[in-house]
Amino acid sequence: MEELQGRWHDLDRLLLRPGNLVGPGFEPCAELRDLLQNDCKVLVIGAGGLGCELLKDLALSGFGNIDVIDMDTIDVSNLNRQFLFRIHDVGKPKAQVAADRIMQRVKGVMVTAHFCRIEEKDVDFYRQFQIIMLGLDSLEARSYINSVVCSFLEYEPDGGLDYSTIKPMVDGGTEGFKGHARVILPGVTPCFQCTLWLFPPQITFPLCTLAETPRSPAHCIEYVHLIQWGQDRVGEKFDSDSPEHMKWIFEQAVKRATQFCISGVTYSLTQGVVKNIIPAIASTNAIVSAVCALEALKIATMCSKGMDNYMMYVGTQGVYTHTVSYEKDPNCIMCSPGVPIEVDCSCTLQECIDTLLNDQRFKAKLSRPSVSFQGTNLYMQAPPILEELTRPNLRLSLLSLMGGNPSGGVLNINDKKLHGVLRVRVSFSKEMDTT
Amino acid sequence: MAQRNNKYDRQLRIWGDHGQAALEHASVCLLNCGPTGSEALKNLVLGGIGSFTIVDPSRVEAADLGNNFLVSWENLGQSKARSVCALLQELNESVGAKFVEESPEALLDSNPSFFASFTLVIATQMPEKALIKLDETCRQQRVMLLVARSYGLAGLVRICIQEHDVIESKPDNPVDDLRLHKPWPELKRFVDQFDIDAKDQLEHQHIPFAIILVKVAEEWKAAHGGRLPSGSKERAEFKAAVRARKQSDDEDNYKEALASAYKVWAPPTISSELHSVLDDSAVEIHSTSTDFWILVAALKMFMANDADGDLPLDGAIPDMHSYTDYYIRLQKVYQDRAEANVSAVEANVKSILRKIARDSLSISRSTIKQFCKNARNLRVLRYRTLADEFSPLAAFKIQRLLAVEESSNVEIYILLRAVDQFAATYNRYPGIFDRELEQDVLRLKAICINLLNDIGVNGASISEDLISEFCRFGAAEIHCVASVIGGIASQEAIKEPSYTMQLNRHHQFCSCRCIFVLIWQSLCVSIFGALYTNILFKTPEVYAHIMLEHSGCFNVNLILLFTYVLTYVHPYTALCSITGSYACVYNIEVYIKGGRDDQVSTYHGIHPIVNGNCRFLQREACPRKSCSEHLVLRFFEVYHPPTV
Repeated sequence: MEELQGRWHDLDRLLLRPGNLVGPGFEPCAELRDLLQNDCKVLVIGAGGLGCELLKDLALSGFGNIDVIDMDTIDVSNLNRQFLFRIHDVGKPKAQVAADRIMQRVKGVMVTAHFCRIEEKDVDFYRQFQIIMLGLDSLEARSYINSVVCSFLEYEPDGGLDYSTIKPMVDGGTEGFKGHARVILPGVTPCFQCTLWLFPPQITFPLCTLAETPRSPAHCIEYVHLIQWGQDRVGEKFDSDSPEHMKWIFEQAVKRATQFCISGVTYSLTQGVVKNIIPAIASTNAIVSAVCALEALKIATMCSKGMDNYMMYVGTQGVYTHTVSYEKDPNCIMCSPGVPIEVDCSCTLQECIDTLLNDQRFKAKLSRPSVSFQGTNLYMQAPPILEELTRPNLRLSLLSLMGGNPSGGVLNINDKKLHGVLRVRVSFSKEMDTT
Repeated sequence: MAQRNNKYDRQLRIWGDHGQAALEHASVCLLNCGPTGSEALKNLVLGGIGSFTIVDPSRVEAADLGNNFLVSWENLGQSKARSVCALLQELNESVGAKFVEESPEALLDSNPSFFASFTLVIATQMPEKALIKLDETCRQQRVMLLVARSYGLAGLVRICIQEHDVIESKPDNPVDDLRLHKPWPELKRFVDQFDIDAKDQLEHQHIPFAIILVKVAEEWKAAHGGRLPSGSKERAEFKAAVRARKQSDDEDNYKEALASAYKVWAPPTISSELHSVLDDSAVEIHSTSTDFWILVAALKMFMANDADGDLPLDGAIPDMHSYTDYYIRLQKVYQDRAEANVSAVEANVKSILRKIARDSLSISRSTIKQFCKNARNLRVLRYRTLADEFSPLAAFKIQRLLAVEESSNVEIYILLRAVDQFAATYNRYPGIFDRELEQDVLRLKAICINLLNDIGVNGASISEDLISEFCRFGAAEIHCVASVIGGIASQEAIKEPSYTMQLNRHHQFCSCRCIFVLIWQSLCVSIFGALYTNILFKTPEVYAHIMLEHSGCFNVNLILLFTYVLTYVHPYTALCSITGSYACVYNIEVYIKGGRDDQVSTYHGIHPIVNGNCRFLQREACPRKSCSEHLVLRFFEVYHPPTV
């Protein structure tokens, strides 16, 4: 398509002119616009409140090749902020409608929609993008993408990071008048796993309180939701999107509340408690998404220095932001060059695998690990032929399998429970076993 | 109605039906509909304002298609106001949409009364001179004005309004007002019905912690001549007295009692902000006083005559491990007391209204109740006029900002004003033409120096890099920057939805008080709002005092404030930084040396705390001795929220 003369007039000020406050290696030139238009593929995960804004912001920042993935369909309650959707779109896939609206309004941008769960795409799908933007509302989804992106990382034997394997992620999140934007350069800045403690703990109620001593409307609702449903509607799976199901929960919760002289159970509160609804408004999503998209522009072009690395926005009392440079966890199981473990130098490969399986840090992450060292398979769980071939190694000394270097090295662990490779940095205990 | 409620469900959960109703009554006037204005209005239209009118004389040009989502290619060459208006209307059919193809400046000259019919005027991308006049006009007509400006990678939002009264400030971490230290007779009688030494084990572990603490506190007072525990030794003794009543280690109500024991000796205090509202001259009621100030006057009477200086009880109690019946009855005792307090305030309101010959029923009980419930967090914000801000009167503040400010925010503020002066002088913005770029840097620098001289700031200079950067921007309106600035402007607008001529409804959230400026460069994005202006002009002593008043409540802003002072006001302590976020610091208490707690140990910087969700890293010790006088702090008694 022929470009309209002067359309990128404003953006060009940043792309075509040199500056003293730009990112490393910034070279002002017209090719930067081509890069954005044609070469830099961006993935937007989530086409909700943040996703809609991100798509618009990226398209109007010159990005011409965008993919968007979302498993949801449009609901009426999205319309107060997800501005790409109209009332007649209710029920349609978010990703598709969002992609169509953006392409309709912003000429020359190609938005490809994926109406599916993020887990349905394989690792190679994610590998094709230069930047991944996250507009998600759950820790689980973030963790999944994090593990995929960290699995791309490759380290030199000396622990040095291969910078070409970094897949930058920009993450946004909002709740009411508050939000955050962060830039994750895996291996350089902390990944989600490094800063898991940033996520607030989920509020849950003790079951005995729900069952025996309810004191609040929420206690009554959760009782019906978690306990009474299973007793009264045996075999039926509760579906929070079913109006009939929700109405039943509400009515039973009112009954229970009345019985305990508790007031305040409403339909809206019932929905809020059962679906764990997070309040959301247009302005906060707009602010956070725009900060994220601008970071993407800076990562792609270096036209200004990037954010380091986590910004919080608090709009509840006045307007406040603070940017913190978080530090990564040097022993992170996702992004570090290797999680340290210490084994005895007489340890066999089998014993080492047992150690891994019993290690709290890897709990629920490993079931049948395969082990390799510097490209050589030490033990493979599958296929059967390889398993048989590598089985004798299990009884051999790990130290000798790792080339006899007493200072140890990094083992790569694969497991079907892992989304990528787990790097384990083995060190051998001091006392040499002379027998 | 059902569809409306569904559509707005996610925001009704924040501001409720009355907030939404106020929003639906708002009529907004947007001046200039570039991306900054269009984005601001977009967010308001989605939220469901009543109506809007766009004022913009320009046509859709090629550059608009590269930075504004609310124009389309079909509109090229047509009225921009019409295009934006039509595309905004698509977003929400229930919003009234109008446009005027005229220049805001011309309209301001020819028909200033045009603005009187709006709730709110949002002025975007307008120069200083026109804004001063607009501010004057809007103040005369009691219309709120929001100024929003995007300029390259920088921007600014400014609120102009005579007075903003906040009733529902919705604090992040509401304080429990339990009056454990001085129970009223009904609470005492209720507590007396319980035997906290009950032999029945189940009974013993289901007595709410508030009852335990009131009992132990009453016993303590009886044994100590009516005094509450003071000093670390006595407080430890008090806790031991609570602990002694435990019958086993896993009694949840006792765990809660110990975690909340401090509430006995550190009940919530009246903040300096509330004091200043109560002492405001507007509290002298006369025939033109607004409902808000009548309510404040009635509150003041209540505190002096009926409540021994205390605020009305809000009636809310936190969840406590307890039998349902005990909890519900305890809740009722608190609620009854709150209702009685509302009645007392209501009687004062009526007597004031009669005194000024107004209908004594003109302020409803529900309004009074709402007011009493939120009394602890009342705020009044008054905004300086733009004329004052641009006069030498404000020079000393700018001077101080330049002196202490580590980051470049004040310089950006100066530069945003300098580019307007540049435009007034040269009839164009700096950096518009590539060939004059270098020359413009020198011109802009000269203007900055003049500007600083004019407002009486001596010896300050603006970074050359920033001056070049502003020339590089060439007045560009970058979409993402516009979206942030427009987003903040719309968020501020929503905090003021009910500002009406009758002034009988009040606002829900605290707005930002003053200017904030932001830029994306170096390592951070910085936006400065109310906290910035509140704190920056105050000395550390005053600051410590503010902190002290807040101690005892779990206030996120407190932590933010502290980070702020450590980082900016005391550059020597800049190495201390809090690695925590709003999501996880809510369970930290902050105390200052010399405060109520006389046993504060001294830490330079921030004491490292590692617990579940919070992690503070200790960095360098403070090299400057004197700062220990005011800024020594500690985090202690990490509050563990009840766990499952």
